[in-house]
Amino acid sequence: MNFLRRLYSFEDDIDFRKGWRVAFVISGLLLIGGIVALTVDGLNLGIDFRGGTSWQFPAQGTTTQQVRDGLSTVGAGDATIQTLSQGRNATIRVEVGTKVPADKAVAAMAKSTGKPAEVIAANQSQVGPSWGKDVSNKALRALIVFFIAIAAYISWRLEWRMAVGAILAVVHDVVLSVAVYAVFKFEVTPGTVVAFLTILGYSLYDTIVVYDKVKANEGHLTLQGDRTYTDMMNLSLNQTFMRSLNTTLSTILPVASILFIGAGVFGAVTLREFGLALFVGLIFGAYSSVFIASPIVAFLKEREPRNVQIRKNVLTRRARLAEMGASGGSEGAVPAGGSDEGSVPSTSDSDSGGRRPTPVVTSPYSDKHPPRPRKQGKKR
Amino acid sequence: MKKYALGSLLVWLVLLAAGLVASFTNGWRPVLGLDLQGGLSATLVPKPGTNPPESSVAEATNIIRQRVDGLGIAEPDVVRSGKTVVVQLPGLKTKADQERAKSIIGTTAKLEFRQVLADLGTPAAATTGTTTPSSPSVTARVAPTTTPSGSASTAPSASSVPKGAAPAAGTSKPTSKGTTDRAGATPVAYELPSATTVPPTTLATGTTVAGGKSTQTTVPAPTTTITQAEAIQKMLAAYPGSKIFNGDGGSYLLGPALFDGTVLSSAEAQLNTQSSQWEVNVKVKGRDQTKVNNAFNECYAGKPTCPPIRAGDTGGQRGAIAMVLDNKVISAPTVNAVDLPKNPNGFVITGNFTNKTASELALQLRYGALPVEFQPATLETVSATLGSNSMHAAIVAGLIGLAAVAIYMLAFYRLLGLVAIFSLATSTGLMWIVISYLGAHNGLALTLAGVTGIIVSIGIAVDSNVVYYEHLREDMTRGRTLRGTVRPSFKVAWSTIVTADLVSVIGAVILYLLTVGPVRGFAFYLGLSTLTDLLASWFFMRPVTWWLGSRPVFNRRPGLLGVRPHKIDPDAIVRGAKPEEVPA
Repeated sequence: MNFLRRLYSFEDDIDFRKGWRVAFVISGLLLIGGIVALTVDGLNLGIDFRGGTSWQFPAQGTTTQQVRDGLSTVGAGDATIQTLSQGRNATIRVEVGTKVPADKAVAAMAKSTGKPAEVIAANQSQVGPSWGKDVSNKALRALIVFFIAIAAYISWRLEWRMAVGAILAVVHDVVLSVAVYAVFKFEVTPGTVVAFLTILGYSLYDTIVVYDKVKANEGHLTLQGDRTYTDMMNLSLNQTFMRSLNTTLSTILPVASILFIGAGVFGAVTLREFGLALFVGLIFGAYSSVFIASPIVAFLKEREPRNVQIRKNVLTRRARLAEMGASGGSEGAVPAGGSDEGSVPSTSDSDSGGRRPTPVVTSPYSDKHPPRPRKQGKKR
Repeated sequence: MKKYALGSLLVWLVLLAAGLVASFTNGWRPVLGLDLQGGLSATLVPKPGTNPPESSVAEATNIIRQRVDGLGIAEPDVVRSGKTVVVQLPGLKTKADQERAKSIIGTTAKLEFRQVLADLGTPAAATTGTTTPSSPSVTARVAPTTTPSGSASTAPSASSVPKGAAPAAGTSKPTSKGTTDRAGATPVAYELPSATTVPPTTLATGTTVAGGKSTQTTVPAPTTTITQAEAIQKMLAAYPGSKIFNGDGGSYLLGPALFDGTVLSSAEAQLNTQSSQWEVNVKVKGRDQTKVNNAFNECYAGKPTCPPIRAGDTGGQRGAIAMVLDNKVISAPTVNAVDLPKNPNGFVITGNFTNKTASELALQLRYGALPVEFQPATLETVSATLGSNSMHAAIVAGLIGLAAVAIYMLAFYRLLGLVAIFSLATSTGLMWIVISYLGAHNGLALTLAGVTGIIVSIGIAVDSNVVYYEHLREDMTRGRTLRGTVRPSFKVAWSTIVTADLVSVIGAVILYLLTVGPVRGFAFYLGLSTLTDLLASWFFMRPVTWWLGSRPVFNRRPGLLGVRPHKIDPDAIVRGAKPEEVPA
C-alpha cells in the first residue's frame, strides 16, 4: 500500500523495462501454448454454432432450477431452459449443445426432476445453429475492416509504429482470451463473441491512453537531452500508471463483481463463463498496453535515425559521467543535468544524509541522478 | 456565467430533465431482450400433408430470420428444430402486441401471383347500391358467346398495343355505353373473354404498374345484361382453376397461380421523389424474369386469361395481376408496363400508399417468399433464457460493482470524484432516455450483450475524468495555480479523450454496419455510451470543474478536490544511469 501511495506521488517509480524481457517470454510461451490448445482441442462451440438437442415436456411439478441442477451434474449447467406457457398449460423447453450426449442429459433431468425419462424425451429434436456461416463471415469481415480503419486512424492521429504496436497487442489479448476458452473448454456462445469484442475495444483504449502520453513526451526529446526514447517511454508509463490503474479498476470492478458475486455468491451459472472471459480479457488488455504494445513501439522507434543519434549522445554522456565519478568526481563535471532548459539539477536525497535539503524541482526537465560518490572524510 | 461555461451545463441539465420527464410520462421504458425478460414464442410447423426437405426448412428459417429482423422487433431468436421453426420475440406482453406479431408471423403461407379475371368489388356494396368511392367498379367484361375472330376489333387496349401483334381475340370487344355506377344494384354488363389464347405480344418498356384500388369510372356497355352472380358463374365455368378470392386488396375472380413468391428477390417501400408518392419497389430474380414477364404482358395486352379491367396509366384498359398471400388478396394492381426492365429486374407498385401501407405491403411480399408452407403458428409466452435468477444476480452484482467504483473514485479524488460520479450519472441518464425512446418506437432491445457494452463504458467514462484530473495535478506541480490550469488542462485532456473515444466510436460504427444479431446490439450500446460520455465530459465535467477550480477555498486546499500537486516533479523521474539495452 505504501508503495502504491509513493508511486502515486512519484516518490518512487517502476522500471518497466526490466519487465519487458520477462513479459515477452511469458507472453510468447502463453501464445504458443494457446495456439497449440486451439489447434489440438479446438473450441467448445455452443448450441448457437453447432446446434444441439432440444426437449420439451410438461412443466407441472417441476421448476427450471431443478432441471438446471440436474444438467449441471453432467456439465450442462449453462443450458438454455425456458418455460413456455399458453393459458394454463406450461411446458419446459431445454436446449443443450453437442458437448453432452442426449441420453445422458435426459437421464440427468429425469433424476433431478423426478419425471420419467420417456416423458422428457418424448419431444426431443435436433436444433439447428442460429449463428450460421453467414453471420460468422459477416463478423469476420467486419473485424478486418475494423482493424484497417483503426490502423489508419492511429497512424493519422499518432503514428504508424504505434498502430503496429496497438494491433499486435490487441491480437495478443484476443488470442490469449480465446486460448483460455480452448484450454478450459468453456462453451463459446454469441455472448462470448461479444465479450471478446469488448476485450478488443478495451485493450485498444488502454493502449491509446499510454501512447497519447508517449507522443506528448516525445516532443521533449532532444539531442542534447539525457533521455533516450526508451527512457522517455518508461517515464511515460510511470506517469500514466495511476491513470491506467484507475481506468482498469473502474472497468474491472463491475465485471469482477458480476463474476464473483453474481456467479459465485448467487450461483448464476450462466454469468460465470461470460464474466470470466471478460475478467481475464480485461486484465490482459491492461497488461498488454504496458508490456507488449509499448516495447514494440520503443523497439521500432529506436531504429529511427534521430533516436539513434539521441541514444548515442546519451550513452556517451553517461559513460563520461561514470568515468568522472570513478575518478573522484570533481564538482566541475556537472552531470548533464540539463536538457537545454537550463534546469536546476536536483540531488538525490537518500545519500546526502540531510546535508542538503531536497529542493522541489520546478523545472520539468531535470533529472534525478545516482548519488555522486564523495571523497572519504572530506567535510563540507 | 460564460466564464465557467455554466450556460452549457444548464442546457445539458435542462435537456436531461426534459428527456427524463418525457420518457416517464410517455411510459417509455427500455425493452429488455429475450435473454433478460422472455417474450413470445411462435412455433411454425409445415402444413400437414406437405413434407418439405430439411434444406427447404433451413432456407425458410433464414428467410424468416431476415424478415423478423425487418419487423423492427429487436434481437429475435429464430431457430430450426427438426422441421419446425421456432421464433422467439422479446417483450410483447400486451395482447395488442401479441396479436400483431401473430398476424405477421402466423401468415407465413405462400405468396401467389394470379391473373385477375374479374374485379368483383366488395360484396356488401353490391347489395346496398350506394356509391362507395373505395370499392372498385365492376370492370369485367362479358363477351358474347360467339367467338369473334381475331379481327381488328377496336378495343382500346388492342389499339394501344404499339408493336402491333394480333390483338387478343375476344378481349377487346368494345361494348356500348354502360352504366357507370360502382358495384351498385344496377346490373352491369359483363363480357366474358373467349377461351382462345393468343401469344403474348412484346410491348414497349418504360411505364410502371399502377396499383391500389381502381378509380375506373366508365364501364364498357354490355352486350347482354346479366347479374353479377350469373357473370361470375359463367367465368368460373369458362376458366377451370379460377377461384374467387377476397382480401384487403379487394374481391376478385382470379385465375390459377402462375408463380409464387420465390420469384421475388426483394421488395422495398420507397418514396418517389418526383411524384412524392410512396411506392413499392419489387425485384424479380433473374432466372424467373421470363415467366413473370410473360404473365405481366398478358395482362397488359388484355389477354383472355387476364382481361382488361381498369384504365391504365397510358390510356386503354389493362389487366391486373393479383398478389395472394395466405389465400387473401393483398393487392391487385393494374399492369401498366410491359416487359419488366432488365436491370434491375423488377417492377414498381404505385397507388395511394402511405409510408405505413407501402412498408407493410413490402414486408408481406418479402415475407411470403418462403419455400415451405407453414400452418398458422402456435403462440406461447416464454420465460427469459438467462433465467430470472441470473437476471437478479446480475443486477445486484452490477450495483455492487458500481458502488465499488464510486467508493474508489471518492477515496481517490475526493470532491472531484463526486463530480465524476455525477458526470457518469448524467451520461447514464441520457443513455436511458435514448434507449427508452428507441425501445418504444424502434423495437430496440437491451440484451446481455448490450449490458456488457455499457459496463465497459463505465471505465471509459470514469477515465475521461481521470485524464483531466491527472493533468490538473501535473500542471499544478509545474507551478500553476488550480485556477489557472483548469482551462488549459482541459484543452489537452479533451484532445486525449477524443482520440481514445473515437477508437470506440469507429469500432462501434463498423461493427454496427457490417454485422447482425448480438454483435450489432453490442456495437450500438458501445457507440451510444461513448457518445454520451463525450457529451457528459463537455457539458458537465468541464463547467463544474471550471467553477470549482475558481473557488478560493479549493485553491487554498486543492487536496479537497483530490488534486494535490506532486511532491516531486513527475518529469524528473527517470532511471537512465546505466546503459540499458533496447528491449527484445
